Amino acid sequence: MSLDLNEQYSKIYRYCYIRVNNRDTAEDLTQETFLRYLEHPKYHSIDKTLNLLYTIAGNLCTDYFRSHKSDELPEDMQSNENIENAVLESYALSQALKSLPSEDREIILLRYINDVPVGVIADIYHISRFALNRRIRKILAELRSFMGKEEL
Amino acid sequence: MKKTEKDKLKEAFNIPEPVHKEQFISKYGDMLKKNEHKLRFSTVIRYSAYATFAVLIIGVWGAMNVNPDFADKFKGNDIIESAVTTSAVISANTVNTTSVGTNAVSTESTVSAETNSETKTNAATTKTSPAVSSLPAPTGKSSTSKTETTRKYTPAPTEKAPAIHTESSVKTDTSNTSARTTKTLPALSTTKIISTVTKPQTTSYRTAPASTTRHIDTPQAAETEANSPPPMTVPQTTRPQPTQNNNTTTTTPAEYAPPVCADPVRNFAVPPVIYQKDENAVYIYDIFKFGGSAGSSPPMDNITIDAQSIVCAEIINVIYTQFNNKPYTQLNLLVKYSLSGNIQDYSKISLYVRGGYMPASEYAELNGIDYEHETNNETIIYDYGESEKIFDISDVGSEYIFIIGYDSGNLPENVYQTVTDSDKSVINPDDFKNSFS
Repeated sequence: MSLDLNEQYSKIYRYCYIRVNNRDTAEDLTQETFLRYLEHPKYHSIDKTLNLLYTIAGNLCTDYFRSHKSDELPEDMQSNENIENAVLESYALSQALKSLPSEDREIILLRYINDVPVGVIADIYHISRFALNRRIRKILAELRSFMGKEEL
Repeated sequence: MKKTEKDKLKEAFNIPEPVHKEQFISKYGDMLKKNEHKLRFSTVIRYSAYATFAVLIIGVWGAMNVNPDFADKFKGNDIIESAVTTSAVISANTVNTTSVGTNAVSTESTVSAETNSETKTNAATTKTSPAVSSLPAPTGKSSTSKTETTRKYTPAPTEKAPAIHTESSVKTDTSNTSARTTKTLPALSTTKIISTVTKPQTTSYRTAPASTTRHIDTPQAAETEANSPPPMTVPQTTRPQPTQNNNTTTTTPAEYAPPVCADPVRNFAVPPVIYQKDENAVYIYDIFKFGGSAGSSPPMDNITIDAQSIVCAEIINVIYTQFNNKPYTQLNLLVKYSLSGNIQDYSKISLYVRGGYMPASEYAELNGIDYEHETNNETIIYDYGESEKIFDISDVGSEYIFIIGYDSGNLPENVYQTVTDSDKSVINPDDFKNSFS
């Protein structure tokens, strides 16, 4: 894998965290992702490598949800609601992010936090690039409208 | 999106940092190195296997191109016939030459020491010259000269073939090739052995014992042969030797040669003796008085039951000969289709039909009958058995239904016989159809 292992680990971790909302679980799933990556054939293309990593991570998260169905709110979510430790602006943004569907949140994370290419994201979610771009624009517009600002 | 906005988003997600990141990365790095080492090894093995397979394919392909024999094993060439000649030479500078029938095969082996060489010739029509290959000689072995030739398809025996003299020139195309063209109609032989001779003044008929072959000589030949002791056989040297090729050869008109036959399984039979038709022939029963009646013809149904084969065939040749001391006609036939039996379509067969011409004196001698005739000339008798028909040259090209009987045991080789001596055995195709309607 030609990508930086340290950087990719963080990105996959963030993706798993936003899916499961638990740090330990996210780390376990992240490590499992990289271990399973070793069993697969290696690609020379970065996009294919990223696609493989995120596909493995997403499948692991889905399997985790199926095996661990719980109505309890994650601990991290409760800590996010701590108004004293949060900045009003970031709190508003975080609230705006929470109002989004989970898949939209993942897309925003992958696109703007993990800097995953649009083509890879489109392959992960099985949509076209054009549809993905429209969806991203829509998500950003919703965030802005939720925050009442023209920009984030 | 700007970097500041990205940072705000990142902060808004509020994702905690992983705890075991550094530990996992260090261990994972080692695992990666081991995995890459395994991958490299498996890659080397894989490409080595590819290279080995490619070399093998190239070797086989090269061997096929270099060695035709090796290629034939895979191509499955259908070689019809092969004459194998094996010769071994003891001393140095020995030349062996063998000729095999019509396809002359010359084998030359010149060696300086004990040598065993094997030559292989293909007599198939696809090859115009025999292929000769010599194997490497084993050392330290003594060998004796030995020549063996095998030939699968041989022409009809020629040593006792009688010579035919006809007034009109006859050309016979002979092809002694063993080409097999079973399903294609071969070119019809244009041989018409018997031609009409008005008077026998220019010919003389030799009397000879029945066991010997007969032939009709020209006056010149009769004089030369008058002093020669019987039995008269055609010297092999006079018989033309076909050239070593697959083309048909033309023999001289005065010499008889078997007709063209493309069927390697069956050739036309060579008659033991050949007579000529005589327009002034006398009916046999006008000269020889026999008792009894000719008998009645069996009904058609009985004939077909006793038949070995029923074929529709075209007459190629008409030859007058004798069989069982009686005049017979040998019809060389080209089978158009078979109605019953195991005779194949488009095969050529020889069929004996009762009736023909032969000298009266010879008939008397063969049958032990006293014969004295008024005329000084040899009288030719004719007999048609019960059919009241004698085939002649005008029947060449006609098609008939021939009902063939089983071999009684005394038929010559490659000869069939009609089931009866009556005309019921040779039927017009239209009449044959009507007889069953």
